[in-house]
Amino acid sequence: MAAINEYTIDKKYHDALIEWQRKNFPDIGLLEKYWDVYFPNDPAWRLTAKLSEVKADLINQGKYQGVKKYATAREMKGSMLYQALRIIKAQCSTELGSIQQHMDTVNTCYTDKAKFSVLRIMAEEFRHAYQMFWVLSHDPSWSTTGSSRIAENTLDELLSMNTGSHVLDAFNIPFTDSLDNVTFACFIDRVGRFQLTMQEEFAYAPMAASMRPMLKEEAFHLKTGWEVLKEICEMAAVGEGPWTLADIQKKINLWYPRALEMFGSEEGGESNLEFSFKTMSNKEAIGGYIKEIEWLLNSLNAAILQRRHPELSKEQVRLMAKETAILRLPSTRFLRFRSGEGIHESTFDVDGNRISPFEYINYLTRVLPEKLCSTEYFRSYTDRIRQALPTMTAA
Amino acid sequence: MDFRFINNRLDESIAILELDDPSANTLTYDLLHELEYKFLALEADPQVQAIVITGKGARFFSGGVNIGMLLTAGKKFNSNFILYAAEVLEAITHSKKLIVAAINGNITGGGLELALVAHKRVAVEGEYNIGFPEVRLGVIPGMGGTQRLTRLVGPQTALEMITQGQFISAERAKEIGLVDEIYPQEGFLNRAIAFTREQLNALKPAPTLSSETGAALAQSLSTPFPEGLATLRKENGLAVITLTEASVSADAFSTLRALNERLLEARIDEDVYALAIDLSAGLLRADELIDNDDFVVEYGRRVFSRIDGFARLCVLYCNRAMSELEMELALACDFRFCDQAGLTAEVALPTGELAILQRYPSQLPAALAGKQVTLARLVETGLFRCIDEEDPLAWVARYMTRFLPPNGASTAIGYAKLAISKGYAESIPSALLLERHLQEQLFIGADSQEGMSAYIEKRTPNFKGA
Repeated sequence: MAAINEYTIDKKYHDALIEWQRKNFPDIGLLEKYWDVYFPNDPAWRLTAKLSEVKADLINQGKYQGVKKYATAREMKGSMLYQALRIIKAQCSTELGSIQQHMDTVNTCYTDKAKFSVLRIMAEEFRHAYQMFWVLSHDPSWSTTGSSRIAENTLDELLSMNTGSHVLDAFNIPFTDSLDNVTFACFIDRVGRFQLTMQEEFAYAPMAASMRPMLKEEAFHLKTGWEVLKEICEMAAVGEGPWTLADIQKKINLWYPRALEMFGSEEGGESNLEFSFKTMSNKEAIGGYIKEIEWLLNSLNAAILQRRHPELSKEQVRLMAKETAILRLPSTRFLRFRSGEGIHESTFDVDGNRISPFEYINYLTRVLPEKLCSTEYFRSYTDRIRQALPTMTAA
Repeated sequence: MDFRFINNRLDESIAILELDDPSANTLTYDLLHELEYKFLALEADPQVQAIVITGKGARFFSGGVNIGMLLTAGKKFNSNFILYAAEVLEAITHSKKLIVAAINGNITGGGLELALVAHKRVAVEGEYNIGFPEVRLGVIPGMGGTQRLTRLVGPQTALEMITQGQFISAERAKEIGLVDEIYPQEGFLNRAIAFTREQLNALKPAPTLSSETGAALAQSLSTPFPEGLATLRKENGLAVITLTEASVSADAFSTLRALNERLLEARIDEDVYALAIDLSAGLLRADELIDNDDFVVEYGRRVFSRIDGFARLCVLYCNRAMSELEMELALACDFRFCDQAGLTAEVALPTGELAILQRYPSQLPAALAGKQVTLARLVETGLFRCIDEEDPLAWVARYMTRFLPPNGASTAIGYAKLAISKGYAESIPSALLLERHLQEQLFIGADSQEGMSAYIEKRTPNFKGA
């Protein structure tokens, strides 16, 4: 097993993050108090940056193939430096953003076990943010000729972000009930796992060395998301529990498109390969993700059928699940904001059929979670569509 | 210099420069720095008659200035960067070689501004974007784009292209005269080279350096200049560049390059509010007749113009004999100091029609042009100030602190310098426009608010340099 070394960050940022945690994640003490009750076999959570050995010493793809991975940021120049910074910032923003989202609804989780699992997820996301702060603050060479504060500016910006101002849209959506905590862990954290896995080959060694410990923790998030969502589906299958299958479907309609957009445009990702920041193009990564989610959804459908028909074998329900598709993935064209088309041209239904922009907003209120439709987030999106309407009429 | 972002090969007398910073070949300080040096080297190379600029890959010539850089680096850096980028592009326009931009794909913003400094542009067939999207980002093309596009396609078309921020196709670009030819994707670069060759044949051969001088310069450029010719230290916002003893014994070109490097570092630095140059050890040997070497002199002037265009105060300290070129450096600075010991040193005053000389009618009367005079004489005319201090350079550093934040509104001071030095060379309407623009910028900045608040509250202002 690879050795893990732990570090703390500069006091200035350590204190700033603790202050951030007091404001955004006050329940961390509760988790620490009951850790042994819910996770007796796992080492206690600690706020440190964890580094493992890098997977490979040399950059093994792209423009700098064969060069030793960069130990200092100074060695990266030109676009590479800014792109590395952008990726680290986006990574950190997702960690902080998800805590802010989870916090709104964690106390409404339907069991204590689920609640403490979500608290653990939040604590680990907080450690991941701490890790990214370490990546940017431990290396004084994070500067470029003429500008010595690019890392500092980024860290300050990260500390000031809230739901609504994060880098990726998935982290700007307010959770409206604890089904969001679970669906998010299942769909969005899975994208996180893809990104972390690809970033194990990151050309900047301190970032690459951060990935394995993060991945290990991310596995718990996915497992929690999957197990609790499955449990909720099984209950819903027989009319039990707090949510119906229709409620679950609406959450899938919300989170799946956001997850896809986290990968970036299908045509993009070329420079991440050239700079060896990631190991797959966006298209490849999206393809892999969709495949995994399709399998997952099929398993959920099978679990639903099994609960309804306990007499059937696992194999039978699996086959039936494929045919009946009780829960379905929306089309990859549905609710996409980064399609490259104008907002009024990206109005598709869940089956991928173009839908009139005039009908679109009403349609969304039918297929998305009801409570979401009364949030500022939804209002802001639909306002942008409405603003485009007169132009279309004139055209 | 190691070239990481500019690939270069030679096809007989045509140099092909390829921008190579994936995926969009965006303009960063590092890329432009390499581009500047590569052009200098090609300029010096007598074998090279034309330069073709293109982008690596099939998708981008250049996506313009790297927005990620602008977003993270801070306002002061961005402002310094744009000035630097404009200077690099301006320097390219002075090239004596024929320059052709081979537009191999998307070309937007600063990328198009780069192509506009070329004498000719050829474009690849296909669907991609050509244009200036700057207004969509809340800015305008700021590296000469508004002026060069207007002169190429006319004001009406330029206005439409820039204010609408929309992209046009290669075909449309040809219609309006933005590109000269369109060639198919297959064999595009070879067609661009052939086009360049045709253009060369139609032109008279450009004046080039003698092969001996060119080879010497090329040799000098191909090796890193010795360390320590010039040093840079920063103290609380004041950058001090010191030319060392080593610089005097090095060849003039290397010394000028070393000075250029330190000037660039100081100029791009967001923490530098004023600059002092210590010439007491010397820049060039006073007896060195480099004035015969037009290339080096021209390069020197380009380096010195970095001081003139720097929106910060620059002072020079020297207490020894100075050559004509060194005196040009002194004139590019805003204030000049010497000490008692240096008063008897001889100074060779420049001759000719240098614009910078016109700025000093009373301190540098026409009668003195081309003469050899003592520093004492220049102290008399007011061009130099004599410091009677034990450590004159320390005194200069102390003197400059009055112009630095928090005591000095360094940006206002720097802008006042630009309004005077740049405005003086312009017609009154242009100079007034410049003044108005600079004033507008200052009113947007935090220092003007602080200055006015402090005035009303009867306290000392605490300027931030913004």
